[in-house]
Amino acid sequence: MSVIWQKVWSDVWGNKVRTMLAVLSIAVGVFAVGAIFGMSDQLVVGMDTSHQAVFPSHINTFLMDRIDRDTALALKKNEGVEDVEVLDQVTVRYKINPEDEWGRGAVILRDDYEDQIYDVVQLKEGEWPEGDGIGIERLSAQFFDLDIGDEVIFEMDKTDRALPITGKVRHPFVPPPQFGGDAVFFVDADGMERFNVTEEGFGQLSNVDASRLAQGQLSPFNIPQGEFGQLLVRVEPYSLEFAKEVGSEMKDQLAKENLEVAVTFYQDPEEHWGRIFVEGLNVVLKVLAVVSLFMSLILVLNTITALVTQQTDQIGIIKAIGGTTFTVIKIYLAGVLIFGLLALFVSLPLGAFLAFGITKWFLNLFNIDYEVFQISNRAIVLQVFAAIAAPLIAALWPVLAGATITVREAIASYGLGGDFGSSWLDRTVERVGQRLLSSSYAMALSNMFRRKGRLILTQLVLVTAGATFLMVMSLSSSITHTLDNDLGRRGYDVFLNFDDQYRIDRAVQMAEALDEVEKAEVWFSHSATLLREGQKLKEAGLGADLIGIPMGSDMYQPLIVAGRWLEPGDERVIVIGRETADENNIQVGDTVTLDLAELGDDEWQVVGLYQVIFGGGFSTDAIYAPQQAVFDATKKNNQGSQLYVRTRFHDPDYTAAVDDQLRGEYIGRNMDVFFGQTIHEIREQALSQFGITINMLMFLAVVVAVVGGIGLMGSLSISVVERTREIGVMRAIGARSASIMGMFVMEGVLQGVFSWLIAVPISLIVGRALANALGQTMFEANLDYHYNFQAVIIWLVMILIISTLASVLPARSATRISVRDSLAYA
Amino acid sequence: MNTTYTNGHVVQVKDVVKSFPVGDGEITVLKGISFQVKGGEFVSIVGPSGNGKSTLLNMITGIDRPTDGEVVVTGREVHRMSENQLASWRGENVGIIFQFFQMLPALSLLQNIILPMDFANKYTPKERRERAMHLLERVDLADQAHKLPSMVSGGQQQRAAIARALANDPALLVADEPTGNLDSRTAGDVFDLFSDLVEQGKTMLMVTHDKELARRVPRVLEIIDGKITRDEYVGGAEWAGY
Ligand SMILES: Nc1ncnc2c1ncn2[C@@H]1O[C@H](COP(=O)(O)OP(=O)(O)OP(=O)(O)O)[C@@H](O)[C@H]1O
Ligand SMILES: [Mg+2]
Repeated sequence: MSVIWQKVWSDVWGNKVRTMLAVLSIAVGVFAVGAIFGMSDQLVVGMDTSHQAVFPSHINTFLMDRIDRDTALALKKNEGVEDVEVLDQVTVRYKINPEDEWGRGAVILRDDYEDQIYDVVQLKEGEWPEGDGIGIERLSAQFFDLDIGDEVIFEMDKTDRALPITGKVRHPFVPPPQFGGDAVFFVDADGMERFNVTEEGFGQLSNVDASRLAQGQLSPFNIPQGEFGQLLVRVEPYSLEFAKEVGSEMKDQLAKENLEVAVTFYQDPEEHWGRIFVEGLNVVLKVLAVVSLFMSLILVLNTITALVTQQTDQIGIIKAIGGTTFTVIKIYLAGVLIFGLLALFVSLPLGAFLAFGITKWFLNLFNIDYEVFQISNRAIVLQVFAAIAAPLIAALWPVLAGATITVREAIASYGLGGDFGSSWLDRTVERVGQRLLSSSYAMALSNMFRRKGRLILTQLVLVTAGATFLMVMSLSSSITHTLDNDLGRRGYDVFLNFDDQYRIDRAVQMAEALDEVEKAEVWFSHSATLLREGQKLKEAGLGADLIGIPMGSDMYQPLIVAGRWLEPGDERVIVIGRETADENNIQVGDTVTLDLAELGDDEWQVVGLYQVIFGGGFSTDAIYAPQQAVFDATKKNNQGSQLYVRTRFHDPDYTAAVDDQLRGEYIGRNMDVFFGQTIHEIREQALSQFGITINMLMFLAVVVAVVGGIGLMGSLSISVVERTREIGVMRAIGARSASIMGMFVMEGVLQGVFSWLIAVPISLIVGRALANALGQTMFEANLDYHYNFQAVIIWLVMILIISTLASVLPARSATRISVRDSLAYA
Repeated sequence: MNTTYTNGHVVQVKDVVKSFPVGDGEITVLKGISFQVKGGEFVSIVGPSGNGKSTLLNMITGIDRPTDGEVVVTGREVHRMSENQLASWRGENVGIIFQFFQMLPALSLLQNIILPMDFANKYTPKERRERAMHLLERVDLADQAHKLPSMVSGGQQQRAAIARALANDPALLVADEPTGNLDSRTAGDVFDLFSDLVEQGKTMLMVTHDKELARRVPRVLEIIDGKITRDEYVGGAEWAGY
């Protein structure tokens, strides 16, 4: 081996600070790429794999009425139906301690736990539910702090019963409870008979059940054994269109047997439903990872440019004694390769562990087990590329520029960059500096401009870091702002859902009788199915709630994305969800038909489309209409089930107290509150859902800031080495350590502040586009953009801290240079 | 060895003109220089500062190209060769000794001397090491072989540079003010070394301002204002110096 490799090694090993900085620069970018691409790959694959493993049904139909097993299984004979499974699901109220308030939960009954076909639930601990023993969904157990052996009190007609938890079960489709889901319980076929069905899970059955109860068909305790309210179906061969065809066919057939479908969900058997929570975020994260990698590469470029410039005379010698251009290229690229390998060595495992860690946490949140350590191959390939190939490419330009330098140029020491003092800009900077600043600050300023190439590259990194930080901060404040606006469209503090329809005037009067209540309002809702222009939609009907809103109500107004909101004077007009409209090609101005079951069909005009900003992915669509029009259509008057209350003060404790008081009042008058929430509880749920996004964005903002700091540190270290002789001379003429240190720290801080000045306008210009892109991927609506001016100050403080810290190390090494060293150097 | 060149001349410089662009115009530093150096000659080049001595040496070593004229060194047309050809050629045929910075700071003296042999791919690795050690002995630095350049004195560095210039046993040695940085005693030692080398058959070209040394060189070439104003075989005669 040639002794020249000894030089490569000494360059790497001999200057540990430079090596550390170069390795760190590369490693940060590689780490970000590895962690993020690794995570996003594993996340999507993990979700989909787990999804596919439970044999997801293609069609999930909820019935208005109950069906017996034989009638349901007869559907198997339909063309294209692979198999049919029956099950049931009811909404119940439960509590843990007798003195607690009722909470809302869902109870699921599977026909045969040992022999499930679709949407398979898994036993994780204990036993399958049997008799009195109930199962609890694993996430619910975790979130509500329940365990096997605990007893849960369920509301069953007049006598409530406590039932023991005997098993923990995983249900593949429960959203994370912290996103606002209900507790989920499981019972066996006998168990279901105990539950007094006050309302079906999707809100459609209450009226039906009430009428059946009145007719004495159903005992208040029982759901008749062997009858089911829900069907799971798979079609063969699968396509969404075919599933919808089969679904419609089924609906027609059931209708002939007087069985009405409440709502049908079509489910992709390959893609997990939680994807929507990660896909938008993934895009932003990937962009940021690529940005950090790009910054890493600029740092590599900067370091190698400096190295080559500094070693121009060595290159001259090498060439004078017989080394060729190729020899020189080899020497420096080998150095870069070593930096890259070291960086890979550090960042590959770190990235892989973080990717796995985040994936595991995320998947666990979505109720997916992820215990075996895994690595994404694509992430490894990307990391190897990012650590080896990308730095080599980035270094190619300075290395070529240095290697093709002729011996004469090298000896004359006409380096790569131009020296300070020639251009108009330099002179201006010098003059301004001398006029405004004391001499050592003026020196820091002109030092900063001395190597323009490096200044530009360092600024590029710092500006990118700053702009990214500001944009991410603005992104997160836009999310909060969007949320705030959505909450701001709600004029209520407390929402209560009664177990039945009650007289509006009475309910309002009772609420407004309280001093703490400023205003109360009751809304009426009725289940409805949306048909288009009198035509039955090709697929089975869309289940929805038609909600009658008192005109002039200021309790809630969703985000309108097309058309307008309801106005006084409106009659048979509705505002529907944008997604529903898109899926069915309904435009503002179209006339649609609402099928109100036994009340017949009616024509309504769509005047606006709204967008849901947050809320579970499983709720049925709300269709908003003027209350009087809904009353007219349903032949009802002065009754409703949804109470909205605005309190006099709005702090969390106050509203919670009012909530309690109201419940007490109503229950005292036999008006049972089925479910209620204060605005603060809604806010908390929404924040925990968006907190994930915000935290991830923050994490990357920090990574980017760190890269900026490393970049500045590298740049200043190079500056110290280059000016060794100058520092020696300053020493010789009596400069104290403090002034040398001050000079470098000042230069670093100036660079930081300078980059801040540039980053702010850039983030102002680009930030909105990024926020819109994120809004579109996450909600299919633009975020309510909110530039975070606070972050501008935060970044200024951060950049001051970062640049001071980044300067201290190089500045300290500058103070260690003695006069003798500086002369021995040459 | 290497003595069978055209007419036995190691260096042939013919009508060499060299101009540099300066601002809008250009200055002509070498204004038509012609001379020849035979194998085994020891030539000192003298002249006032800024008159083109280093420029002339650069023409001979191929470090720079003439604007006009021909330079043939060790039988090769230096002015026609590419940078990479020049690098390999120099490595084998010309040993260069500079006034300042010489050694790669990351390598020991011994490694610095092995380096040209590595580049030229001459000798086996074992021979390279032995030869480098032998050259260091010759310049009286054997005990410093494993030190880094920064750990030895200026004179020792200069001697190591001479050892390195000899690494591939080149026919021609070119030195630009090799003693400019040294005290007179050390300078004398270095000069004695050169004389020994010439006696052993090397051809030596040396630019110097040191009148003591110049006086001891057999042939003196004086360059003033880009022209040869004197070319004499003085061999110890009186010279005023600059
Ligand atoms: N690359 C260049 N570009 C422009 N002018 C140059 C260049 N190299 C040399 N010169 C000029 O050519 C002239 C001769 O320079 P040279 O270095 O050959 O002088 P010298 O005789 O070696 O002087 P010294 O004794 O001081 O070393 C000088 O005026 C110098 O400024
Ligand atoms: Mg000179």
